Amino acid sequence: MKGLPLTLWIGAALSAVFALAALVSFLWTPHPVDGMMIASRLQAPSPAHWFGTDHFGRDILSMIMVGARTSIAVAVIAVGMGMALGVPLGLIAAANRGGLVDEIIMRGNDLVFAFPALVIAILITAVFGPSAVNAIIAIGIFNTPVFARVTRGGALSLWTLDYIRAAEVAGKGPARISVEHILPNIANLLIVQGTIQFSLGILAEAALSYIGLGAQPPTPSWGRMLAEAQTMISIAPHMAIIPGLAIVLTVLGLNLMGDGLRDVLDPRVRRAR
Amino acid sequence: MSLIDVQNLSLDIHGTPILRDVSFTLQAGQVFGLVGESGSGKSMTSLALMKLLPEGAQRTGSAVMDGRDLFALNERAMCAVRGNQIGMIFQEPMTALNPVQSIGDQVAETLVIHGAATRREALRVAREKLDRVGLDGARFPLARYPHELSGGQRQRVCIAMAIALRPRLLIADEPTTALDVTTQAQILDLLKGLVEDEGMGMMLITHDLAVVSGIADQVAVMQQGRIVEQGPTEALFRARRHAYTRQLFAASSHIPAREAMAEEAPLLEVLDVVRDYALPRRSLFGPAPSLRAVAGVSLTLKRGESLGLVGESGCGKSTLTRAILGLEAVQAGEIRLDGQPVQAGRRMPPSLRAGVQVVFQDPYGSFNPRHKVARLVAEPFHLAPVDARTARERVAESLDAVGLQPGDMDKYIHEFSGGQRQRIAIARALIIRPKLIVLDEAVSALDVSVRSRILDLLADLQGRYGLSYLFISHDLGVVRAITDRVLVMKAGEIVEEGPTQAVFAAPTHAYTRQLVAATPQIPADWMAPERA
Repeated sequence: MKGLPLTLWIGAALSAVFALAALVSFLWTPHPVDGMMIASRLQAPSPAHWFGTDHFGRDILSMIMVGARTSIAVAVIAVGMGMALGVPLGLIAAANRGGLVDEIIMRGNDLVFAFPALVIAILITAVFGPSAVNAIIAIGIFNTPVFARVTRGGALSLWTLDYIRAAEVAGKGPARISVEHILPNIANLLIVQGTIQFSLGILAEAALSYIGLGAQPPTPSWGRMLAEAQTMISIAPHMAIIPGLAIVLTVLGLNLMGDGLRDVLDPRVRRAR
Repeated sequence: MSLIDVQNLSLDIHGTPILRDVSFTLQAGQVFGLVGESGSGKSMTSLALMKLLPEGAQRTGSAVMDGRDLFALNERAMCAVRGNQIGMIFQEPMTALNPVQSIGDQVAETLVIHGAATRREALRVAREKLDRVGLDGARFPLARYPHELSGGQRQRVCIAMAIALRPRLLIADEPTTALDVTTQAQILDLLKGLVEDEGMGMMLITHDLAVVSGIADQVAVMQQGRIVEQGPTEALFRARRHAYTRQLFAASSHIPAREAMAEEAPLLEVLDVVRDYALPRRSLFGPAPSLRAVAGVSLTLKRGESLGLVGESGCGKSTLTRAILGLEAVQAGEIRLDGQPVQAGRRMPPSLRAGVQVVFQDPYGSFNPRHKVARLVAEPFHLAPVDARTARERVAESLDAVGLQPGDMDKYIHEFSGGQRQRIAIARALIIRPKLIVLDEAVSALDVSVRSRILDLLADLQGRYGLSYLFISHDLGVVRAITDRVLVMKAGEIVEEGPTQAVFAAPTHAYTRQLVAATPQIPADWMAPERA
């Protein structure tokens, strides 16, 4: 695999660390995350507790591992939802390019885009109650227009190509052409966008949890860990630094991986390199 | 004294040999033609002179201009030479101009960058140069933008930019290949005039022997990175000493052996077809203006016939083609294939759709890069499904018919050259045994030697499968070689039709005469076989 950009390697490595942590947490964590050990609260990092403990005496490393699970699950499902809705909409818009259906879909997307995502997410969770599921739905809805636009943009340029014309001459309808010829050729765009939306999803989940609208206690979540650390910042700074670093490194890793993938997969960038 | 003297120019890119011992001299006031097929190294030669080579290029040799070796100059000194001493014109005028800058600014920019003039002065010179290339101030003010100009006009702007600083050498890389024949003739005239008036030297890079014969004083023939033959144009063309030169000549005037086998029964009938396009509204109320792309066209194509449709870009031939393929609805008139109406969209029965297939111009855009050849060629089976085994057999048979190996079906399309891809495109059209194949500029993007083989193939397949061809092209030479009858289209209407040889020998319509006159040709007496 020589010749892959360095950013891709670094990004993939960082992302893999957190994905691995999340997977391992299903089987094993250094300490249970739901047991309170008031005696050993607010300990600084030590060999027994690598990242220290919080104000209830819970092991922060264990909470980061289980929190990674929450973050990744929310982001994966939200991106999946955005793709599942956005990609077909984009394909339909491109197949009807210039027509009424195209206008309706894309103007509808603009409408969703026009609202600040986080504010609407707060509204949704405020109405339906705070939970991880509602956070997923909120983030997913705002991923939809992103994928619809990327899909339509990529598909539009493909629709002008001769092989699409040849498929039309072979009697294939727009739906079949979209799935058979368009989708595989814009998959690289979608993978890159998916990686970037994934990192945004993790950020959004952390933000919602921070204000108490995401995953509810006792499920550990990076955003809520930060919120809880707020009042302890002067006596136990590690409580804020560790989850903060986890969020920064995961988002950085995913963004680097997205950029690296774009360099590898997007033929326009590849030619310029 | 010569203007530029290139000696033993050799070039490797990442270890791959590109040029070998290229030597030539260019005189002021002369046109030097560099002829060859794609990949022969013509463009790389010009880029080497400009020192605009891609990364990883290793160059040896010398290019002496004014007693200085260009190859010894550093990048800074070379920047002063580019544009100032050597101007360049590219093939594609549509992308060679910056779309967000006015044409006046773009021409003036060259002068300002080289510190030759103030902006005010530069704009005055720009006006002068645009006048010189035939874009007069009344119709083409400096404030015009590239999108407001046609391809030929844009190429004129490119030429004005290239000559703004009165360079002594002008490199023109396929300057007319992307243009219509009538525009091509005007641009070639302009270039020739510039060389005479300004006393500059011009290096004309082209694949077209006929273009070179009309304009170049000296010519060099390139093959695989070497100049195989060079000399004064007429003498070289008459003698054709090198085998490769003879091969090029034979290929470019090649006429495939075929017999007329047209029956009386019509296969395709087009009756008074009209297609309008709505243009953007100019005012909120009132009807949107429209463009009549096809204005009442009627034509008949007989069974087993080869029919040519000739016209310049924008004449409506593409729209008509799409209508015949059943991809686009028409507003009035009727298209009948085998007596049944051709309609756009789903209403057209698959069996009727299977009667007509198409081969496109661009061998690179014609295939989904993610599918294997077997799947690509089998695509028309969507109209008449067969089981997987039969499909593979038919694909093998079809590939065999176009001169490829059945084993090729498990390869991806990027493994094939342009000519091979065009064969695969023909295999795809052939697989469902259509009655009519529409060839939309199908050989225009190919080198002459590849083109002559594809034309042979088409002639052969026509005999074997009893096919009819509708041959759409702007290239009169190709249409002449392969069609029985020809239609000339202009501004959405058919202006002349008749047997191909008769139409080209004695065109009756003024436009046809203009087309025939504008087509570059090698003087007939040059072509006479030399006495042994």
